[in-house]
Amino acid sequence: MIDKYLELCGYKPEEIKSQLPRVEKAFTILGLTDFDVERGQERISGFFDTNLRGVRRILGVLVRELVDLTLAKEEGGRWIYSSPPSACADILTAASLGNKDIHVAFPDLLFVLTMGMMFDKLDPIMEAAEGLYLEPGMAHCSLIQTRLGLYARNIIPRAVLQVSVGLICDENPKADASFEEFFGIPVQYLLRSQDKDWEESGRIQRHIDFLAKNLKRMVERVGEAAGGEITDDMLNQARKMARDFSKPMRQILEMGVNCDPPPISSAFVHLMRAINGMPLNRHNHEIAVEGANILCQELQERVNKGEGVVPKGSPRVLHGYVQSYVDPGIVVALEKMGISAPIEEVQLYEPDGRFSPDISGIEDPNYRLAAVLTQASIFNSLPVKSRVTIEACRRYKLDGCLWLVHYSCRPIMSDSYMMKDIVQKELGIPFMVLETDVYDPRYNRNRQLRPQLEAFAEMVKSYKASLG
Amino acid sequence: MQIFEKITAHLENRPTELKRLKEKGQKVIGYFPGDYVPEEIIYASGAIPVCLCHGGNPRPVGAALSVTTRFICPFARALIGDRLIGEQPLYNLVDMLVTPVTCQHLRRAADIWQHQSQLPVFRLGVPMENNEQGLKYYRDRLNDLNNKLQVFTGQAVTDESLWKAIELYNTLRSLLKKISLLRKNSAPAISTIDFIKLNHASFYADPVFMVDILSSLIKELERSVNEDEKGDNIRLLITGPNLAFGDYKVLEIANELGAQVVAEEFFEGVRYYWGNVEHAGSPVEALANRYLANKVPNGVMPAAASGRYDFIAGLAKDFKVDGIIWYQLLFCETYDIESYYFAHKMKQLGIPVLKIQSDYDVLDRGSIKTRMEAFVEMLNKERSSD
Repeated sequence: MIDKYLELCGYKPEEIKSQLPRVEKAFTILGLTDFDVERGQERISGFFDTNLRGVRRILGVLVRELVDLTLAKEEGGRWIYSSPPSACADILTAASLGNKDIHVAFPDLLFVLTMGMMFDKLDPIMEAAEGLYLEPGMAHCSLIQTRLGLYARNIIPRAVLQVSVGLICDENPKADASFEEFFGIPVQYLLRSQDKDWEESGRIQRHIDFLAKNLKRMVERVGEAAGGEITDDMLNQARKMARDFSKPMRQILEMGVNCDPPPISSAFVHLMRAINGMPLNRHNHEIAVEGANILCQELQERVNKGEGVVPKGSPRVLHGYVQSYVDPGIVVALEKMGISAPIEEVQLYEPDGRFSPDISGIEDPNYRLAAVLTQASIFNSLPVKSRVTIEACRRYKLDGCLWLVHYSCRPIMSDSYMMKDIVQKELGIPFMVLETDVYDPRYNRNRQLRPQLEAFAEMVKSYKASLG
Repeated sequence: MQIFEKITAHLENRPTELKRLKEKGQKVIGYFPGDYVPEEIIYASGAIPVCLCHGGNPRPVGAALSVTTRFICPFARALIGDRLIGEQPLYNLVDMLVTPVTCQHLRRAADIWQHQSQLPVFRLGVPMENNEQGLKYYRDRLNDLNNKLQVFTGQAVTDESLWKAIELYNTLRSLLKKISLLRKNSAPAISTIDFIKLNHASFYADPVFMVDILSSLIKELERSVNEDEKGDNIRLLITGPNLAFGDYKVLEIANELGAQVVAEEFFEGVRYYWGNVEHAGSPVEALANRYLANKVPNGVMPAAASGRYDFIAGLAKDFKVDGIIWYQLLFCETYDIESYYFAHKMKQLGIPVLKIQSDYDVLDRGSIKTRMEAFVEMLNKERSSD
């Protein structure tokens, strides 16, 4: 059974032969039965187009990362962890380049994408966190719950350093502080102040200065934990590795935006974006790059033939703020209703996105990264975000906005209704806010959202028809 | 006490008074609590500082759901709802809002105020770390606030006017602290509910009036203190993120149960009046030191916990409390994380902790009372077995 699963996840025959014992051991530790593996096959085949070789190869990267981290307690090595947003992914990758004994991961996101999305077996991990101290009913961030659950169930080794990113939320650093106190895991924080006034946009020097200094301290501390200095060369190499994957991924994103119909479901593009933000084991990274390049070619062939996930001329909507990590079925269902969602709001602000951050004339790498991060989607004020959303809807002739609100994320969820108000007043297009949990499978069932989604699809189709 | 009647009358007339002052050209600057917005800067600019700290009423909390989700805390929803339904007359007199960016809940409440009313809002960045870099950032933002207020009010702020305002608020805080410390006695001369009402009144009232009235009150209370009188009620300390003006449910229940809350550690409690601004360096430097560096941090800050445990344990010892009530609001995620460790630490010190949570719902009262009743009974048993 597991070999079939690995085949579906793009493992080559010789890789299955050599890796099967490790995979079996890891799956046993994780409590994955034959039934779970079979169900896992059905799930990923339902979410993604596994006829595409590139898709399968990329899915395999997640399985490999899961196996590596699950067996880490047996196989040894020292681990440095972080979690989204991926502000420090390159720093972590650089640390692993300088020392073969150092491994890096975003364990929470990895388990959401594998145990959650692939196998639908995240519940026991979430419940373990609730049993300890992240009680249910408080809308705690489910990504943090996953992290605590992994420690509570003793699945992953304790990190030699937890890189805590508090750029957006308060809960992430507070939770990491509690892990330090309870599990003795040292923490280095990456913090900033979220005091952008509504009239402020673009580069805010006080934010860039503050964050760049924090980033410098972060590089030093991660280097200390890894047992050696992180040099500029190592950082550049890590960034080059990231670009090796993001370059074909960007081409795929562009195909989604510019081609009618889009050649692949945006659910998979979203998954690629998630992987792009994670630090990967070097060997797994090479497989991810190989998979992305293969996929790029396969999709180009589809574009040439005019094939896609919806009929040509179908309505298109903007997806904000992010898609569900644990259940891509929401987007797949929308596409089956004949509506594509080829653009995510967050990607509009990325360095090579349509509303790129201004980093001209900044040489220092920490200041450049700080400038990018402080101009990213979530860091902008509501007027700036709504202006960009309105411009994007006009530029790409979009027929609606679907806002998936991760309700346990306070920074994201609380301005969605204001955004809806502004965009609808300006453009008059359908705008649907769906409250869900993008990481916790217990509160994210696309079937529960289906009636709202169907209503939205009808509204979008009527709107498009009214344009003639 | 006639003094309380005077305060009540002053607060009742305050909206009319502020309207009159606004007509004469003075500006009303509202700010959200958290003890990070120095009233001194607002006062020195010739404007009238008003801390917006009403809560406890479910009506505005429900009204806020028309513009936001339910997953932000009831205090932030009350701030939004009170402005929407106009139940708090002072809220609609505000010409400009200053919000400390301490948590996502207050941050979004300010966004909604601005979106709904186009009111100018100044967001005062509060770095989540208390170090040299954080202090510099905060000091720079205080300077920005100072400059913005001068433009907004048209009145120049000098070092002299800032030091004068600092002196006034130092006096106010000292008086509140002096009254607060009277509660260390086994038979306190003032109940905590009255003290908290005084403290809350100081956020809305004219500070000169408050200094005057608190000075009279202290004389009266000192006369009534009887060192020989012994109270035998269970003594409680209450702590958590914030205790809003009007959110007196837990204090009332404690009274009903024959227990006494004798100390409070909240944004609008001890954290406000415990420390004064020192006369050193420039006034803005001195304010930054007082409001960020030299105080017990709030629980939102990641590395705040150990400093807070020590401070609260010290208060518990000084005020001779039998137990602590951790009072938090629904969906306040950072304090909820800290509550677990707090209870754990206090247990090591032999201080029992009861965690209570509220959504400002009227239905809360029954379950809170049952839990507090059991807690007080347990404390009584512990005391009698000692």
